[in-house]
Amino acid sequence: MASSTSITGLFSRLSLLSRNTTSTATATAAMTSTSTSRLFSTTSSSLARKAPPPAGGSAPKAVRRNRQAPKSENFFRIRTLRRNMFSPAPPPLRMARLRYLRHWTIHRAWQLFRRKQHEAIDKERSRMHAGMYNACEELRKTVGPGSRGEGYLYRVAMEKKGVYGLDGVPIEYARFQTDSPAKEAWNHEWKR
Amino acid sequence: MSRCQAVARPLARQLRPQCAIRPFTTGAARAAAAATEEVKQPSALDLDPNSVLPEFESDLIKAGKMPIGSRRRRVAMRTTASLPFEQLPYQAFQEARAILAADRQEKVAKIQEELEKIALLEKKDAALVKGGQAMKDTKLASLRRYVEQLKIQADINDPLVKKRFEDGLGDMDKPIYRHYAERKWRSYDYRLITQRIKQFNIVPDVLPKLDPVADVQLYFRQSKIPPGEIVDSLISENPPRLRVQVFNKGPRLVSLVVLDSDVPDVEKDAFSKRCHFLAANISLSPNDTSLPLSKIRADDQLAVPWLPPTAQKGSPYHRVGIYLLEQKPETKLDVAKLKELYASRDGFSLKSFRDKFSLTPVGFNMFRSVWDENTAGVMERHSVAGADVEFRPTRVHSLKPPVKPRGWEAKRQGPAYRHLWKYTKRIKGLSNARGWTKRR
Amino acid sequence: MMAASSRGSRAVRGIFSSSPTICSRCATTRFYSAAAAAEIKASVTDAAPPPPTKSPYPYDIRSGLVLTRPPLLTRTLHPFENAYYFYQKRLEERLNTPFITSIYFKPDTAAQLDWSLKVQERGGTVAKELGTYHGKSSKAWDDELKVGDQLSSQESVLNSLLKDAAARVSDDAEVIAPEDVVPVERPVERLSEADKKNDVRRLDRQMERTLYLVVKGPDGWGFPADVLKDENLHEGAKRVMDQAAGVNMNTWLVGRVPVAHLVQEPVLGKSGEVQKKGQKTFFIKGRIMAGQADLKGNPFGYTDFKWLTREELEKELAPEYFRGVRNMMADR
Repeated sequence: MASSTSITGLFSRLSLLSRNTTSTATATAAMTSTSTSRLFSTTSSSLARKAPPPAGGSAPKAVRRNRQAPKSENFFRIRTLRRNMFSPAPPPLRMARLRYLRHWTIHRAWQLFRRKQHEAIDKERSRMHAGMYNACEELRKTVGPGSRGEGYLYRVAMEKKGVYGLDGVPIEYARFQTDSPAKEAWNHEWKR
Repeated sequence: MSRCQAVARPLARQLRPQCAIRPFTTGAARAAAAATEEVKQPSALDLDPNSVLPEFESDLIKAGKMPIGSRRRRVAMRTTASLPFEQLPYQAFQEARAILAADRQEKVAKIQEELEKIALLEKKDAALVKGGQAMKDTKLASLRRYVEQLKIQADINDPLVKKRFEDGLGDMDKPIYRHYAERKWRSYDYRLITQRIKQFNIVPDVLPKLDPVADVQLYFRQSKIPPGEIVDSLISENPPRLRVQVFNKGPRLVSLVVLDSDVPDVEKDAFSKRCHFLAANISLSPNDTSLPLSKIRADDQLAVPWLPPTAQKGSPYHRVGIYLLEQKPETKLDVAKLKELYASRDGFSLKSFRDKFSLTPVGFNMFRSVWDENTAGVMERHSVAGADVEFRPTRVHSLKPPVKPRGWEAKRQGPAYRHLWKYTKRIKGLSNARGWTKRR
Repeated sequence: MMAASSRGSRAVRGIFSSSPTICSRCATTRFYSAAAAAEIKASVTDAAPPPPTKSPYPYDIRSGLVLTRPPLLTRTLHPFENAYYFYQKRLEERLNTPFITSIYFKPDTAAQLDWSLKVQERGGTVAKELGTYHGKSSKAWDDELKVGDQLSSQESVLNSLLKDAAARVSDDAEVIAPEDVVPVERPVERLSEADKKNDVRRLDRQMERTLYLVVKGPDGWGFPADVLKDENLHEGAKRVMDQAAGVNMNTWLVGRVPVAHLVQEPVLGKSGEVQKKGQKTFFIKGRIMAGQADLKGNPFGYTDFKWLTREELEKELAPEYFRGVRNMMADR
């Protein structure tokens, strides 16, 4: 066979097979198609590239003109990634002297700004805690109500039973703050 | 071709002539822009090589003037060259300046407040302060320290202050510049000098404790000498110049000692110390930093004049340390007494000098001197004896007993191993026919 | 959303309907643990015997409720924050790897056409809100925004995002004519109708701030409070709220611990006998999540209510009253 030298190992083996067999051309074609679909791709058979059926029953020609490796279904995706994924990172910023001074100024101001915010939050929290602490202290020294002894109300208030359960916090309270209000900002007509 | 492509292609083909959607390349737009620019005439700024735009560069070059600097710089010169730095019209920058200015106002107000507190406390009788005079002094000191800290904090975010310091134009009488200078010094030079103090054993040998707080740099003939370098004796023949930067406020009086701590003492078979320079009552302040030793000549300052450090041949390197000692505030040392005490330079003890006159070591620098080809000449010129002496280290023999030869060959030298002699005798460098020759 | 998860409240209702001290009408606000509260009440009642008090305690103990509406909106950014974020975004443009269109869009699809149309309109800038700026070009150094440029404001960011969100290419890949482009619906204004009219009764006013419910009683404006009967602080607070402001509020008592207190000293006679009893008022904090107060038929004589911010409260409340409760109020 003159053409068997130019075709791939797979096809030469196939051609040998078909030459030795005395079965019909249809049987050979079926065999070829099954073997290609298993080897080349995992797409549905309608989209998968098919090897053209051998022309003659006993003497198949060099069936594939396009001799490069078969393309997978992800070929284009992979090509895009391969072209772009390894692009070098952009160089670090370089700033002239005054530009760098401006950048430094902005950076310092930002740090100062953040620090002031944090300090304000800290102050707010300790203020609220102090308010609660004083109220509890007053409550501890309180007698009553009715015939109760001193500190009864305080002991009840300190009770933590059931605080951390699943029903501890209602789900509506988990609403986030948003940048713009809902269409109906507040449901005034809510009825129990 | 994927399915999407296959589906979209006829659609796209249909669309293309109608709406001419073109991705990023705006070739036509760029061409149009170029066309309009060609019409544009060069302005006065475009004739200036400092601010010419790229499109007029060629005209300028033809006229014989080369554009100056990068294109980026030229555009910046066009737009903002006439503005001072703090007025540059950039949004984030100006907003940041507003934030910083507000913070500075706060700090200044706080300084005012603290100063008022100080004034009140100063007026108050010590008996009325809880804790008496001692507590009053402590409180005043801590308030003043706080004010100094606030002064630094008020200015530390100013870009112009930073720039001025980096340019070396900072006024060291202001706390913020001293703060910057100290931070810079501590970041490297201080670490270097403490390393030298440790590795050259200055601390147990010369002083029991030495933690420098002032920056002392050493210059011989305009060249800066890094601490600990070996200096040629010809170079160190002339007195050096010091650059002393102190980081706390106000003038103060200092004494200066140059001390060679490795003078060989043959009689005692030890090393002693020798004073090479001694001066007192030198006024120093943060702003005047130059201290040339050759200019210290006044009678109430110079006690012991400069003697070039020399190392005799064969002696190990000599550590020549420069010690700056701060005197008590507004107390002058009696230089006549110093002259009398330390006229003979040998056997000078820095520790006793420090204790006798109650001084505090504040600055340190050092160099080393060894015997070189110029030393003999220097010693002759300054009539220092000992140029004809060469020291040699005495041989110190090992106290261990000698060890017999060891190893496989050494063990098999005897006649019992006659059959192995072809392997153990006549090994080059180890043995000959008579036996083991290798010396240990 | 309207009907809150009502498992807990149903349980509460069951328990409280059997309890004689609290009417079933009030038994709708959820404690974080109503069942546990009832248990405690029972156990502590058994444990604490009545102390042998000779003289009556010279204070009335009152339980009050500070009902707050948490902020609904995020805070308005400081101009420096706007400018700083914009500055950083442009620096990021200079530092990131380029946007590769072919990774995200298949060629010749409607999405790709839409994208390229929009990017072309932005002058080739990938980012939506940064104006015409190329982080990789030779002019990338010119990234600082000039003073007075509105590009960094929240408003312009919003506008650019809305503009980008509108579809410019139809599903069958035809470019929609500019007059046919359906703009995306704008989000609702942050300033509500109630703000413009300064309607202090509405709850959708001052949405960046916390609002506090104050009522006008015989003693002037204040938080709803009442003398404790034989009950605990949080039960008292809940009763006060339900009786004073009605049940049509979806509320949650944050804890049993009082957050603020007010003490009014008793007036004593010469021999130390109590002429007028003092008052100790403890305030429990509550959150409202839906609904509105309704003073109709309240037994305390409250005639009016307002939802006020901290600053407005400072003007409205008596100074010593405000000093007592100001510590529990958040800055925002």
